Amino acid sequence: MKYIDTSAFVKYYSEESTEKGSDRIKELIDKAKGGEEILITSIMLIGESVSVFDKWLRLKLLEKEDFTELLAIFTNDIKELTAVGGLVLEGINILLITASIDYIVKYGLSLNDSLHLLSALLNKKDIEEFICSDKQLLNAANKEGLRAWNPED
Amino acid sequence: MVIMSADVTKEVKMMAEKLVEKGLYKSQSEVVRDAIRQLALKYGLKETNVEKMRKKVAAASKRSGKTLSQTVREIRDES
Repeated sequence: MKYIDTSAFVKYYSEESTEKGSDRIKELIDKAKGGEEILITSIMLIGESVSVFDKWLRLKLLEKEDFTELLAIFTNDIKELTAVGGLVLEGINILLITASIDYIVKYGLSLNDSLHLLSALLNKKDIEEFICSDKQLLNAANKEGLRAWNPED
Repeated sequence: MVIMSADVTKEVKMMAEKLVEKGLYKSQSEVVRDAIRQLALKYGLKETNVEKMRKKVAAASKRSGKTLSQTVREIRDES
């Protein structure tokens, strides 16, 4: 099982020419869709991805029509991945939020970073790789003993 | 563009007006167009094309110098 952070997952919707690591993420997610790979992430990935697409709409990088279609593609991908068991969504509860404070303080992470890290650490024994494209979070994951992998490298 | 007329209730017309007033759409015609597009997607009448979308995202990325991954970082830092 591999943990995938939102910073890596969103690369599925771009191209290698402008978003480094996209090809590797496409291969990984397509494998998960085909039942050859199991990915795990925090349920926050859904809200964070939609926030990214929404920000691109507000910045006028995407037309309203494209935003609507991108949202539909993303929603279908999540449904498909979870239906075939290729994506496990780790929930959030008050205990997780409380426990995440330790990592906020320890590494100067944002709450979202910390919740992703903690969601991975809770499943540490089953996780082969922590896939992420954010240097700060990768650094913290490495220090916590996760095998961190940046698809951009 | 072609003209399409449809009978709607006062309530539906008011909802379309509110969506325009809120600045979410430029016109009531745009509201109708987007609603129909969403229904087409919902009922599988329109094929979603991820490759086509990737090209649009990549083009936007090239224009702006932004990447989706970087935007994740921005959103986390803003929250």
